[in-house]
Amino acid sequence: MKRRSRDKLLPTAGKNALTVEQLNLMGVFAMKIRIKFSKVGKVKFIGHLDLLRLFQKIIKSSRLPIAYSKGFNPHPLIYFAQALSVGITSEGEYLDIHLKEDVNPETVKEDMNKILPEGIRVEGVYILPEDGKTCMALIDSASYIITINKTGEDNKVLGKLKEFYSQEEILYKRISKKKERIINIKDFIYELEIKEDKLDYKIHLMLASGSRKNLNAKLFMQSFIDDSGLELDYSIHRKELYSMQDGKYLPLWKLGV
Amino acid sequence: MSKLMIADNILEQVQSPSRYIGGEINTYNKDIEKVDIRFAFCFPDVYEVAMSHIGMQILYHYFNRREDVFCERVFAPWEDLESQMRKHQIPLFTLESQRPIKENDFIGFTLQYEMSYTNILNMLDLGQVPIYSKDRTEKDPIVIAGGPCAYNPEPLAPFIDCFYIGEGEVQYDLIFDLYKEHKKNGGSREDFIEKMLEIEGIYVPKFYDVTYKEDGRIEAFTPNHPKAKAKIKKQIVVDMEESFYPDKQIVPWSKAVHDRVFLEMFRGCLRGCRFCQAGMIYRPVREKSKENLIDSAKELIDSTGYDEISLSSLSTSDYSHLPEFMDMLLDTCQNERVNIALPSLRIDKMTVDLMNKVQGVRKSSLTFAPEAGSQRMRDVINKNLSEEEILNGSKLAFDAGWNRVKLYFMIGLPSEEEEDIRGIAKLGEQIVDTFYTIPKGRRKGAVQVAISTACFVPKPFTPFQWTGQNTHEEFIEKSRLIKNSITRRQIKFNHHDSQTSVIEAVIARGDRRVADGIYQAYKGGSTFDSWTEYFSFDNWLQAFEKADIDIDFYA
Repeated sequence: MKRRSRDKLLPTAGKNALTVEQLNLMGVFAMKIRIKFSKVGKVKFIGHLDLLRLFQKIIKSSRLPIAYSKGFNPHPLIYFAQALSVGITSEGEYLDIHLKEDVNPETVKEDMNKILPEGIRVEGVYILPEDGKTCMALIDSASYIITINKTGEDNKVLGKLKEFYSQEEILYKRISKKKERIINIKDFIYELEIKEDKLDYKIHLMLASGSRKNLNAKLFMQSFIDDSGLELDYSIHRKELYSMQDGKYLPLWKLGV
Repeated sequence: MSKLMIADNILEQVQSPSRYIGGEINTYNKDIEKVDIRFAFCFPDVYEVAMSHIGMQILYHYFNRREDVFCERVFAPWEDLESQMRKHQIPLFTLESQRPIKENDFIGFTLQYEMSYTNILNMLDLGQVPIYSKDRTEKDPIVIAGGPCAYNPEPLAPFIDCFYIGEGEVQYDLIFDLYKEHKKNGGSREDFIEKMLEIEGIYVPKFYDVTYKEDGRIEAFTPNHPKAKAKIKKQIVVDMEESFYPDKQIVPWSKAVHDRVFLEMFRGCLRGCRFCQAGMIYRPVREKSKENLIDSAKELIDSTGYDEISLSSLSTSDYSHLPEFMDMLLDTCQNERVNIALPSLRIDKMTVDLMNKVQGVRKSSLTFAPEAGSQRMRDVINKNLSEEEILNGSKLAFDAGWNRVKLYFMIGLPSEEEEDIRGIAKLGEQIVDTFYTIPKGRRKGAVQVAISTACFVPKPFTPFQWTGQNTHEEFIEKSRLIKNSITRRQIKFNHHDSQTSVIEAVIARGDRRVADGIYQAYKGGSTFDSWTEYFSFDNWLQAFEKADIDIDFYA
């Protein structure tokens, strides 16, 4: 393999672009960090793309020394883990950032939290190993708590839920533009536990999540509602994102340092 | 965090629910119990349009810099939310505190374009505030309106309590101080509106009577109150250098039409194009120093994290120290990794060099606004742009690698003849020919010329304010003529809808009687008239008929 000079500065195309230092063959970053953040309250109505653009601005405003991609149209190296549907709150969201300088994780957390709007908070910043995969590629599952508020019809909910989950196959009709497909979503449900409280039922759920296999929590609830015929007042909250490592599900932050 | 006005289950059903939640970066979150004055700033269109308005960003921060004032934003809810709001009797609310707009001391509308007027009536109705001034009582907010269209306030006179003519930074501190004092002494709403008569630049319609001649024209316009001024003087900021400019900009949740830092470079325009209302009403030209601008640019980039900045003014090319300023700005932007979105500039050697520096490899299209197809016509409207300049400019740009050109024209200009119309197509063809004079090695790809025509609407306070507008049929015929005159496949032609222009013309120079037409149109279901999917020409025609408004008389 050809050895590239570490010190040579190469101008990129485009007369107003900055010259980029080529640090190594893999990329132009010095350090990778994983940011865990929560999204609660009314900001649950912010869509994923809008959230992405928001973080780009927060990162820029807090002056994080973020690394950029090479080429004609350099973009900041920010990677989100798994899109969160509109209307769902979460305490376990992630994004990975490639930086061109070393940073202090605690300072990053403080600086970003100073500027972030109410409802979004950085919970932790973790340094990643250089050869680690991005959070996007690592995800295998996600845990949720679905809270169903008790109304007049409570006695039916528990029974219907148990009935729904005890089926060998839970079939859901997925209608796309071209065709109708019936899928067995039980395959995508890794854990399900129902807890009853005074005012509500809570479903603790672990679903397949990520680019390889994914079940949207909203879809899970929709198929239950379709199946049971009940009208429910519920909310969905994502707790954590996990990666399967050596036979165990590890929360993504544990894969940092 | 304020509790949302709209329930979760409704928000989950509507498009872009983040439009209605507030709490964006750089917004205020004051305690409504602790402020003396609550001001609801209303932009009569949907969130993504409203958040692109630089005026609102300036006044929002200007008002909120006072601890005793809480200025909140109100925008028109989209149809999907509006139907839910009406179904569940949910009143129109402010974004910051999520409270009904009728709780405010003032409701301020910005009048940016005539086709937003039905939205104003709709927002008052949704806000549970009586649409007509005369029906408002002590508990209702004072409804005030400003902006460029306020210079002809008459079509909205029955609905607005007072109009503010001119730039907001001048008199609002005085208005707020007077109001605070008045409220403290237990004064009534009616009395305060009367007090507003003393403030320069304020026009209170109910204190003026209008009489009409037999032929329909205005006979007399007379004050009916001793303090009502015979002439209203527009308010302008004199010292732009010392004047307030925000160091923060609200960052919208969803992608606004113009989603970048706005940097206002100067007010006014020295060109004097005869059709242009903005050029006339924002006179005189008042510039800010380049140092001041660079400081503002840095502050705004810092407080928002935007990666693009736009230069906002009526004719940026005329800024007196443009080359030096651009060098400073390019420097700042390179360090901050910010792109510069250039407005339309005069196309000459300096600009082409500048555009090259700024745009680099990715070149967007070149824009010219000749407005008219022949030199004679351009001289009539005083658009100082010759055919030679256009062709030379194009040549320079093509040589430097550009290959897309946009041309803006108007049809229906005063004294227009067929030759002028044909000139539009001819100019497009000449530009195409110019492209091919560049040797094959130097020119890039194939040329694309997009010709866009709009219908001329005579505006008040311009030299053309007494001209008649072309009829709807005349517009259609002229646009057909252009379409048939275009023979080259490299030229695309796009014509703006003439129906909205006809209605716009009636309102632009309308008197108080037109207000009834607007009310009838609103009653007939017209809202979001600037949106092609919602505008109904038939509805407006019927409304004007009901209100006994003769289109030909006004347009």
